[in-house]
Amino acid sequence: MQRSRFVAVGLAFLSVFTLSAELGAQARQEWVESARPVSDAVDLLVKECRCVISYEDPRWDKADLEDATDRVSTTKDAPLRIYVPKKTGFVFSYERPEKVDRPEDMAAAVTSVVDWHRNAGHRSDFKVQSTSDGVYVFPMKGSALDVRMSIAAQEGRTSDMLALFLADLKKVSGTGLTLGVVPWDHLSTTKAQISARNEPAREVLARLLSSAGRKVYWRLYYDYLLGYVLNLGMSDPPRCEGAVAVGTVCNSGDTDKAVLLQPGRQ
Amino acid sequence: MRPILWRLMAALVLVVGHSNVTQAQTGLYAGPNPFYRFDGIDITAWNFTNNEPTWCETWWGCYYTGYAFVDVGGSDGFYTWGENYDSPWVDAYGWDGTPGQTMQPATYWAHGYVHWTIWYCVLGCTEDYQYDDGGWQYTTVNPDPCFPFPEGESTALIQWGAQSIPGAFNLAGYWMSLQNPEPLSFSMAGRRIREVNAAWANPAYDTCWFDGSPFTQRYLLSGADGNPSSWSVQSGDQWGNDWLGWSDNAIFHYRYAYYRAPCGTLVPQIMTIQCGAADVVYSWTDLRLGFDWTSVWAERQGVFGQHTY
Repeated sequence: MQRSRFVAVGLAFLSVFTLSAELGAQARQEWVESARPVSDAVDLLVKECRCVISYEDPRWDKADLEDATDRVSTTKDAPLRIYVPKKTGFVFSYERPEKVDRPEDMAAAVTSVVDWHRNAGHRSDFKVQSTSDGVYVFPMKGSALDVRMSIAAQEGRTSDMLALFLADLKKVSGTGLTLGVVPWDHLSTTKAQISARNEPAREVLARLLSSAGRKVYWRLYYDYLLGYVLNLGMSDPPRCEGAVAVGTVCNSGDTDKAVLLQPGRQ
Repeated sequence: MRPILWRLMAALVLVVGHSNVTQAQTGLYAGPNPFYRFDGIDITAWNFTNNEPTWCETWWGCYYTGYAFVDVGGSDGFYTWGENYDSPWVDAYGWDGTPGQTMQPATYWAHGYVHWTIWYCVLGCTEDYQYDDGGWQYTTVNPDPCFPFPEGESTALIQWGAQSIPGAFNLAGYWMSLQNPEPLSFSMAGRRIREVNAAWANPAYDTCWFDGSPFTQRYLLSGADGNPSSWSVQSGDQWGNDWLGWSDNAIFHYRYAYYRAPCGTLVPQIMTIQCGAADVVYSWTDLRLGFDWTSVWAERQGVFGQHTY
């Protein structure tokens, strides 16, 4: 049974791979397999477009999880079992836009990822929304960022504005977001604005991050124990690719767009 | 005295057999990039009209006064003829000739109108003559935007815990001192420092992470996909804070929810300094960040810090 399924997946992969040759130079095909394959697929797109594409986990239920204690724990006698989303995979293809001037330009590619995932018959399903700040992938069945909120307009250090957002979200929804891996230096050296008038938290957060000047996306992961964990990443970081020697000029990404709080000690 | 007469006199000097005739010029001579650290700037005066040799074969026994809106640093305070100043900086002068601030050869063009009044002598300096070029000369020079360039940096761990950041009790705050090979007066203050990712690929340095973790991988700078923050160099060529480490949440949960401790990550970091519009690499370093069940540590350029948490 397992073997026949493997063969079927392999055939599907091959058929898509064959199809890809007919899609033209801008077509891409990828295979992702992990606990969060849609998130990984989105990561691939971000690296290509250097644009903001955010992702939110569904609230996994028991059927979505597997016991990973033996794989994860470095302790033999872990007092608690560790459950993580089951590893799944899917192949997807998308048309790469020739130019990405606006986040909306990537919306079709992101939608294609979600469609391929849906057609592969997975339990979780996602939808895509695009705004001038970015493209957002979130679960069909609801997310922590669906709740509407209102906040008086304020400006300050980006980390302070983010803390304000998290506190207000918890107040209106009862759902707390744990801060995960975030770009500390960016948050502490830039300033941002926050304001909301009965708007979805997703749009408020997107606007907040965007107002600090740089392209910051989120990965909102759900953990059965912790609840939601908010991770932030930079879409267009500075980079030195290839062999780098002293004196090399590096690509500064979108760093110049940062709205700095003030130069010097923070 | 009229210019035609000066030329006649200069010709006379030549005729009487003096050698090493130095071309006198009115104007500011600037080499291809006189502010480049290995270049000098040679302020000379030349005859704009025809470049012909003029009034003194050397300036021994002759003198002149010059007045310009730029002067070459490193001089003896006088606009002495023929000095080659191996100096990269320029003292700016106001329109009234009063000295202004030292111009750093990084952010702007040094330019100025040059007006020379040249006193010269002929025939054994028995008589002084004055030449006024009669107008303002103009020149533009392009300073080396990379000067001074750091040879590296030293690192100091200043504090644990970023008060300004929620959930960041376990970040290590580092300040760096750029190693400036030039004299103290050549500051790098005001120039931009950046940390840059060495790679996009995941080198799997994050031993805390596992597939299914609610925390994204830490193998790029300050975030899941790298944080290229920028800083401005402060006085004394120092820059910071560079916050390194894990969020309190990540440490707590990797320890007590996933039993991953001890674990950590390694982040290759490239440091750049602003040279004009570009960011140029001056240093490489690996950041090591980790924790066990009772303590948290960070290491930057071999400077290791650990605290109980």
